[in-house]
Amino acid sequence: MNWSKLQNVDRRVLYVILLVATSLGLFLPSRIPNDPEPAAKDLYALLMQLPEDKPVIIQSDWTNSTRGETMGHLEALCRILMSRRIKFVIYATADAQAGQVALNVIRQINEERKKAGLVTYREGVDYIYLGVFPNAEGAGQNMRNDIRKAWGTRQTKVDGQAGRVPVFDTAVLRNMRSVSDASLMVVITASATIDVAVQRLSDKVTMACMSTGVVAPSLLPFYQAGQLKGFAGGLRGAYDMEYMMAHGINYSPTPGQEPKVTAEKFGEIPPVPEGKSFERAARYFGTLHIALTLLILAVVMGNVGMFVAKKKAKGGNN
Amino acid sequence: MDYTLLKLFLGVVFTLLLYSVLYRENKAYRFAEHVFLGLAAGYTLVVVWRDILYVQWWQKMMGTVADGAAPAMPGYWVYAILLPIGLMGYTIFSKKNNWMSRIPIGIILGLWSGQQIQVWWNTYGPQILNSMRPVIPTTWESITRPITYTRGEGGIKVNLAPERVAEIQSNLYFTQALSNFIFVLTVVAAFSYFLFSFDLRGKFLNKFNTFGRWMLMIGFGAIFGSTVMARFALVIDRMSFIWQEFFGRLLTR
Amino acid sequence: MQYLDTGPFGILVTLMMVAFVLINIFRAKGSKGLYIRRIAGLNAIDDAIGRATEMGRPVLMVPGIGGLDAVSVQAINIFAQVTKTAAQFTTPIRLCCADAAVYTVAQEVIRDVYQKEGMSDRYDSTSVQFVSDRQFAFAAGVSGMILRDKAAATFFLGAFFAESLIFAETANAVGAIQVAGSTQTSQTPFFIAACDYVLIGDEFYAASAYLTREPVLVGSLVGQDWGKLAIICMILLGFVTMSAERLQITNEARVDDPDKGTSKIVSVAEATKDQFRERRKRASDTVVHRIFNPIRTEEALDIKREKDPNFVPPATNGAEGNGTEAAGGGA
Repeated sequence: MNWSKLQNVDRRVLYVILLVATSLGLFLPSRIPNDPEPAAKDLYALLMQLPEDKPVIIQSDWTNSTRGETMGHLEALCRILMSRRIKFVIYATADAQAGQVALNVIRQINEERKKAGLVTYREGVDYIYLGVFPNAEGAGQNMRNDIRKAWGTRQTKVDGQAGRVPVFDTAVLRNMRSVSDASLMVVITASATIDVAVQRLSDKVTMACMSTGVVAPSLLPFYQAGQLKGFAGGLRGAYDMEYMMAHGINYSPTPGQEPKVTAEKFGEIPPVPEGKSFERAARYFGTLHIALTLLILAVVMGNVGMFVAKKKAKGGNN
Repeated sequence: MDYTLLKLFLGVVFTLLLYSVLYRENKAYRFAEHVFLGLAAGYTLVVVWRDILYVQWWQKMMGTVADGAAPAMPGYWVYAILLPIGLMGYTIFSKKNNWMSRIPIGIILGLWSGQQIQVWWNTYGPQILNSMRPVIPTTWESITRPITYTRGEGGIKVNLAPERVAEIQSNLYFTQALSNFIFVLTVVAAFSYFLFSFDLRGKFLNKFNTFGRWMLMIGFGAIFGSTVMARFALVIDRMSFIWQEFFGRLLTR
Repeated sequence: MQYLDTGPFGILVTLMMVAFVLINIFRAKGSKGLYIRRIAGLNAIDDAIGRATEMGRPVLMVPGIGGLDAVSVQAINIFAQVTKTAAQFTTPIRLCCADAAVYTVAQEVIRDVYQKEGMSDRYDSTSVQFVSDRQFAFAAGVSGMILRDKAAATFFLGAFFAESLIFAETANAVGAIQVAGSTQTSQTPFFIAACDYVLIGDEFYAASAYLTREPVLVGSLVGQDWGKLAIICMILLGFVTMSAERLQITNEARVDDPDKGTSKIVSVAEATKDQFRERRKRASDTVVHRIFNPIRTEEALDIKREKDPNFVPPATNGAEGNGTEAAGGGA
């Protein structure tokens, strides 16, 4: 075999192989058996055990450029919260487009629930969109100091009412006096805004994160130190969430059957009671395996090729 | 007219135009890039006024009248001081006065540095505590931590007696102690790699430093893998957008 | 950060870190200069320029795509040193910027270097270029330049993101010696994979302090080193005491209430509802844990204020005053 030829394959050929492989992979069944990461199990357990009477704060700092990962995260989070009727407030700090992108996801899940005959979430009643804040540091610090001042000037539409209403006059935030009154804060991010949130708020409110694969390794120290109570990283994290949404933790539909997901530190945590579970991440996860297999093959071939070339060069010199 | 389909169609067209750069740099790619940049800049301008300047600055300065459920609020003129400070940023375009643009940057950096001192402990305190891990096993009854339940008849899970569970939870088993030891060793070695004002003399210290570098490299390898996975997820999403979202909708219309 | 939140220890350590930096800045200003060890990546700078001179090809530098901040400025500081050496050998240079403000500063700095070396005539005003402020347009532009000019040595130092590998790969393809360093941990692995010498993490800051010898930079670096040493000592001390303490048996347990943010010490019997009288110490029972997480009792958080006997509640006013507060209280 001529390894040196393989070393010099036109990169356009590699692109075509990648695009064809990822396209075909989408049409293969992809319910891959999975043992979710401990951090993702913690996050799922946390979400399923939240009290219903306190709101959740969602900081959504991603745009369409990382749709492949973070959209699956926000979808999973919204589906869990909506199925449990937990109110939430959502805002963005990183990018002007982040707010609208998050609203699109909420709208899409509402449509999906409407089709399935489930209760939909109404703006100003079940959730509030606060808008975009200019910088993560300032927004976090203000929320820490006095959330009523930090969000006091923001107004929201209320479904079924004309005009806009101050956000603290709505059912979602009426009882919130400090950031500690939220049951959980989830940061969905494609950048370092999670560092900022942890620095300023992790000792005030229970915090969790859903992030891209690029950010995920930097979350581990926060998770180990207890600053983050759970996290889902990258496409794998999104699939972990969907897998647990379908199968629960330590949960078996029929007694005596081995649960699909087990974790010693939790009791029985059921799957989401209504709505979709497997969706976007499940669609992508099988394809990811194909792409990664291709990559591993390329790495192996590249290394063998380099080794052969080096050996040849050495032989030539002698 | 199916507007969603039209929206998806435009998305597909622009995805393909942008991917055309993989073949080679071309005018179609440039066109798509400029449209993207123009849209992003225009959208940002609107959001900056609507979500940021208007609510956080203009309304606070000018005050508001009562509207429906929203009460009237008095304005506060002090907010006007922010305008000239912000505008100084634009002096960067003047060759003579561009020193002024450093004033707002200086103010922001000053505020930021002060906050960094304030949040330092919040960030690193818990992580320092987490690095102080016990490394001596408290029991040798088992090498690994035993599980806290058994399987009863028909595979049903039966928890151990509460006393036994409490004992297992309080104990530190050998494997746990070992992983704690590796953790502490790695933290200290990686730290020592980043000491610059000490001359590391002696075989031991140099070896320890090299060990720290090795550990960093292993960490970088993991980050590399995770980043590559993230990039693949983005390609897969684009392909799904074209085949499943657009063609899926087109065919089921 | 409030005293009640963190306890005295956190504030003490933070102040200690600040003091370390300040003390060392004064030391660096006063004495002959503080010691900084030489970093492997820096040794490569002279080799790389030497090679470029031999081959008669240019040296290419990129200070990342970040705005004008500490990272970009430090990168330009390093580039000033590179340019100084290059000027002495009359090796041509290219410096590509992605930010207008960085471009302005870089242009001034590089011109200054040539002037100081007394070689103003060798300064080429097109050697510092603004390419584009868009990430991938910049990546394409710089890659093109690397290919056309066949750069013999490249320096990528600063804040790089997804474009890092594009640069490194292109420069690798033309056989350039590459010295790189990114403050973004997620991009460092890509540089390690494709470059000859990489400045990892803090080495980037150390490099600029080493080359410029500016007292503030040198002092901050040495001060941070003291801080790092202090943390290493804390960790070593902590893991020894933690190991010893976890072997002990205790009859007192710490109970935390995460909802209220309070804690208290009770007997093990009370904490375990009379199941045990004593147990082995857990992590939360140790002294180290208590130092980092001070006990906040309910009494400490309950602030009692005496009512003002002369206080007359204001009359409520329809439109104003009963906005958010009244609505909030009414729920």
